[in-house]
Amino acid sequence: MSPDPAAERRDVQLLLRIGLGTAAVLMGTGLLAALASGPQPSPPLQIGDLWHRDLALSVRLCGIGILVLSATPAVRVIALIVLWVRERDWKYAAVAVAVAAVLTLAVALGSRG
Amino acid sequence: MVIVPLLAIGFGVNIRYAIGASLISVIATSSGAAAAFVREGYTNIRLGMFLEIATTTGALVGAFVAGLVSTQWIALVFAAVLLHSAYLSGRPRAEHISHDMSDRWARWLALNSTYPAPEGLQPYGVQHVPLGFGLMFVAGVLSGLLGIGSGAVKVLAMDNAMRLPFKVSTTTSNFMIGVTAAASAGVYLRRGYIDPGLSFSVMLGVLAGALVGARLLPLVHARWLRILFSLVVVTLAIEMVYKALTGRI
Repeated sequence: MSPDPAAERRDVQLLLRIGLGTAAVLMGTGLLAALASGPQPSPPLQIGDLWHRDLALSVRLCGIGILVLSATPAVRVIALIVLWVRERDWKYAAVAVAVAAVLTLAVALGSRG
Repeated sequence: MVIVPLLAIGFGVNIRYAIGASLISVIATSSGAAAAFVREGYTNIRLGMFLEIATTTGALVGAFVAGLVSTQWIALVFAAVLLHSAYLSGRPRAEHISHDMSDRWARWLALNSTYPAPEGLQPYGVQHVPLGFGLMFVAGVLSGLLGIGSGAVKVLAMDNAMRLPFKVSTTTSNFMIGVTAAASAGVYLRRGYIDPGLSFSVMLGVLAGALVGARLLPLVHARWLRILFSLVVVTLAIEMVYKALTGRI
């Protein structure tokens, strides 16, 4: 299968818009929840805190929205891996896998130090 | 670039949380702009992905170093980057388009490409790929350390070293910034340096400011914008140095 630059551009654009849109909806809903319920403590969060039972809904929604936003570029990388594997462009599939590996390492090692 | 010093100096926010908030706003604005630019055909996606190996690795290193060094040292490095940006903004940006397609690395990685121009698709060749890769690593380290997009270093790499057309380097750099910032944001999220309320507020403010700025841009002479930008940035840099040396940051 030969490279299809137009498909690359179209898929990347679509993924970025979906990620941004989802994050915007989550954070916007969190903002509305904050306005409805009044000021809530908004401590700095670690990823695991987002699922804590006592966390205010507005803070949880904002936090998940931030997580979705932060993950959007990574999802874009994964989508390009899939696209380049389908096109049998092994060189660039390997490039994208290397980028994904560094991103994974960033999250995995982030809890140390 | 001004978010971190404004939060740290103006609002007394711990510089690490200021960097976390800045990273989130960088991802948001970069992803939004990339979604618009990538379809137009200026962005060299393959070049961007290849250089992202360097920027994300650099960002990982920078984010780790940020956790080890004192906030005073971070502020001093930030001040140096601000002064460099002020210096670059005062210089005209020269375009160095290359039609030389012979670079070994560019040919092996199929990096040479075309960009849309009024006269049709124009070819360009990518030069000095290893040098550009190294400069992108430095850009990544600064991004992870300071929570910025490192546009100044990326411009240096893409315009001067790799000889890309302006619109290709700008859009490809913008395409890469989101992934670079995401690498650092992953570290900051795991360490609890992301304040959702602060990050969301900063992101909303930056997006609103960008919309207003886009409306005002045609009304303001570029020379005055450059002067204003340089004044603001130099003032912030001096403030950062003062607070770092007196231990107030």
